[in-house]
Order: sequence, then C-alpha cells, then structure tokens
Amino acid sequence: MSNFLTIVKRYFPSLLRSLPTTFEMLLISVVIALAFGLLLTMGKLSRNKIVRAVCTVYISFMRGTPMMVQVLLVFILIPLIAFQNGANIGSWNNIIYAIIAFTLNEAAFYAEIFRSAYNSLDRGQIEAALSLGMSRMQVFTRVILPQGAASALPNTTNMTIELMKNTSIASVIGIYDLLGQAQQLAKNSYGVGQIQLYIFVALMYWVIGLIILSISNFATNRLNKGNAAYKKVSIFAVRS
Amino acid sequence: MFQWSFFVESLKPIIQCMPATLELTAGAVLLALALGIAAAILVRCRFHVVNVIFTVVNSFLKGIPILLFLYLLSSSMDGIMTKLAVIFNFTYNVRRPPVFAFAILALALSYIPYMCDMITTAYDTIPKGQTEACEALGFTKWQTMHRIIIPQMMVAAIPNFGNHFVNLLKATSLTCMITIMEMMGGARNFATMNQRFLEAYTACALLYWVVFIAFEKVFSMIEKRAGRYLSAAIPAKKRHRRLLMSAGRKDEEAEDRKVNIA
Repeated sequence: MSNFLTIVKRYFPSLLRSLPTTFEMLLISVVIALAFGLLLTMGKLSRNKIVRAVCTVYISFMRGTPMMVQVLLVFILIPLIAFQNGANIGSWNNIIYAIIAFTLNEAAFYAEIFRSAYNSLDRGQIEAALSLGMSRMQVFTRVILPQGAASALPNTTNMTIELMKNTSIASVIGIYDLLGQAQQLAKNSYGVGQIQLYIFVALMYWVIGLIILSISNFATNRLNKGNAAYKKVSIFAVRS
Repeated sequence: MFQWSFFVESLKPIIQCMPATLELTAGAVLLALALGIAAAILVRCRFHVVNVIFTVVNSFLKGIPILLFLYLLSSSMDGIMTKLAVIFNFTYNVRRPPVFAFAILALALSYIPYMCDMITTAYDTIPKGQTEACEALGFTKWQTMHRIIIPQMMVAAIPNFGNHFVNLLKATSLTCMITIMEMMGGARNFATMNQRFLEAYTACALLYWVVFIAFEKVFSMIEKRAGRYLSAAIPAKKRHRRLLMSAGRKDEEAEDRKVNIA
C-alpha cells in the first residue's frame, strides 16, 4: 500500500497535466456531436427519401465499425484530401483529428437516442400545439425539447461516458491523453511500478465517469420535476 | 489517391484474420457472460455488505477503458504470473506471454458489468407474482428458476445481449495494440508492408460493417423467434406493423430496442 502511494505521488502531477487534453477532446466533440446528432435525427425523420437513406447509412456505418478504425481513417484521410486540394494542414495538432473522429462517431449514437426519445413523445401533443397556431420552431422548443431532453438525458450520459472511455483510443495516434501519458510514464520507468500506475489511472477514469454521471443525474432530476412517475436514481444504479 | 487494386488485395489478409476476431469475441462473450451471471447473483445478494461491494466493483469496472485493461494485462502481469506458475505448477514463458488469453480476459473483464446489468434488468421484467405462484404450487427454488424465470429472462435479455455482442466484436479491434493479429491487426500489417493505409483501413472498416450487419440480422431473427409467444407485444409481421403505422401509433419499438445504449 505504501508502495502504491509513493508511486501515485511520483506520477500524479504528470498525469494531472494530461487531463486537460482528455477533457478538451471530450467537451468539444460532445458539444459538436449534440448539434450534429440533432441534424441527423431530423434527417432520419424527414419525408425526403434520399435524405433519410443517407442518414440511415451514415448511422449504420458509424455504429457498425470500430472506433479505432474510424480514428485511423480520419487520421489518414483528412491530410490526403487536404493535400490534394492544396490546403496546408501540417500545423494541425493530432487532437483535431481525434475530435473529428469522435464527433462523427458520437453524433450517430446521439441521433439514435434522440430518435427514440422523439418517438416516445405523445404525437397528440405536437398536433395540439400545431393546431393552436404555434410555429414549428415553437413546437420544438416548448413541447418537444423539454420532454425529449428529460427522456434522452440518461442515455446520452451513458454514451458520453462511453466516449470518455473511448478518448483513450486517441493515444493510438500519438496524443498524450490520460492513457497515453500513463503508457509513456510506464515506458520511461522501464515498467517499474506500472501495475500501480495503471490501477491509479483506472481509478481516475472511474472518478471522471462518476462526476459526469452525478452532474447528469442532477440535471435529470431537475428536468423531471413535473413528472410524478419519475424516481430518483443513485449513480451506482443499473444503467442500461 | 485511392487505388482499387490495393483495396482488393488487402481484403484477403483481413479476411484471413477474421477467425481470430470471431474467436476473441466468442471467448470474451462466454467468459463475460459466466462471470456476469456470478456478478448478478452477488449484486442481488441478500447480505447488504456483499451487494454494496459488488455494486461498487461493477461501477468501477464499467468506468475503465478497454485499452487500459489490455495494457495492464499484456505488459505488467509477468511478476504475478510467474508466482502463480510456481504455485499452480504450470509453465509461464515470460518472453512469450499468452497475449491471446490476456486479450480475452481483458475484453471479458470490461464487459462483466454490462452482462450483469443485462441479467438484473431482465430479472426485473418478470412479475414477482410468478415466483409467488410457483411457491404456492409447491415448486422448489431451483424448479422455479429453471422452469419459469430463466426461460423468460433469456427472451427478455436477447436484445441487450445482441447489443453487447456486436459492441464486443467492435472492441476486439483494440487488441491489435497488443500485437494480436485480428482483422484490424491484419489491416495494419498489410498497410505498413505496402504503405497503403487508406485502402487497407477502408477495407477493414467495410468488412467490420458487413460482420456487424450480419450479426445484427442474426440477433433480430433470434429475437423475433424467441419472442413468438409475446406476439401481442411485439409486432412480428410487417403487415401488422404497417397497420399500426397507418393508425399513427408508435411502431418503432422493435427498432428502438436495438438502439445502442452501451
């Protein structure tokens, strides 16, 4: 145990320095993916057959291929395209490729969650709101969004935590996020004390996940204030 | 930029590595399922201390990236394994550690909590009245479980199980980081040998997609077949589904169940 603590004390500062990278990737890709996912949902629910088919294929591809392949594809493909078009992206940080890949992937999963939340809404309410003379935008912001957000938030959080775990894949393209940094530290010390190091990193990932989860639980409780059937859940409860 | 000849050429080595992917998936799913059942029993244990401990362990395992498990097991188990080898009297070669077994173990470990949750949620879908009815009829506990509860639980768990299965299949691609030659490893190998990364990775992605869709179809077929007796709840026939659609009802329940909520 004292061994564990000394190793933690030795490595903690440098692990802490890599945390902003992980959070940066997570936050930026979640924010963009939320918007893009909403667009995809609209595309999937649209009446235009072609738009719907494109969205369906996109979502299926993103769900059906591993994150690792997607990250590597983005990492290879974007510089090639840029080179063909004469754009100079040599100064781009690798983080940008990781963010692009995570965003494209996460948007597909969010779109599926949003669509199922939309389908669980009562259609009659939307029709009633439209017949009251509300515009489409008003219906969306006043009827669909408040209820849809409340029902989609738990699943969205689960996906976000999955993404937080998956940001570790960024270490494959040479980004020093939490896991990449840990790997480097383990290599630098020729593997001495790496069990303790990795276990500590695992604890850090767990705590980050719990923090995200408790924030989302707080928000879910607030959003479900008017819902009598809603029961509060603990952060250790089954999420599936 | 994109050369078809290399794309076609890269398909072969990747397909050759497909059995390894399937083996990894099957092994990890079986191990995770077995351990997940044990975890589910412990999480629902009557003794408060045990179930609190295992709920926390569950949550901990759920919060760890798979890559971390892989690195931990593949690179730092030598000390522990040599000690275990002395105690249990088996040979452990430090120079050639059993990476494949470690990969299966890492994947299984990270999917235990999902399997556990799958089982507990499936258990919760069965009304408590059935257990009481069994008791009233004089069934033993074991009879109640294996004649009444478990068959229903299996049907309830199939959609979730299919989800976890295909997710695990995708997650096996991470094991190429610890030098296992599965589909992703085959693609990387081909790519570095020929210096054609785009073609190899595209081929790999498309093959994963094909496998994913195939397994998704298989699981939806199993789901339909297993849920035959629930035909009132699951609109099995397309005609029936269209009828519901024209009536303006929510008909995408079956699709929503597939939504990937890992």
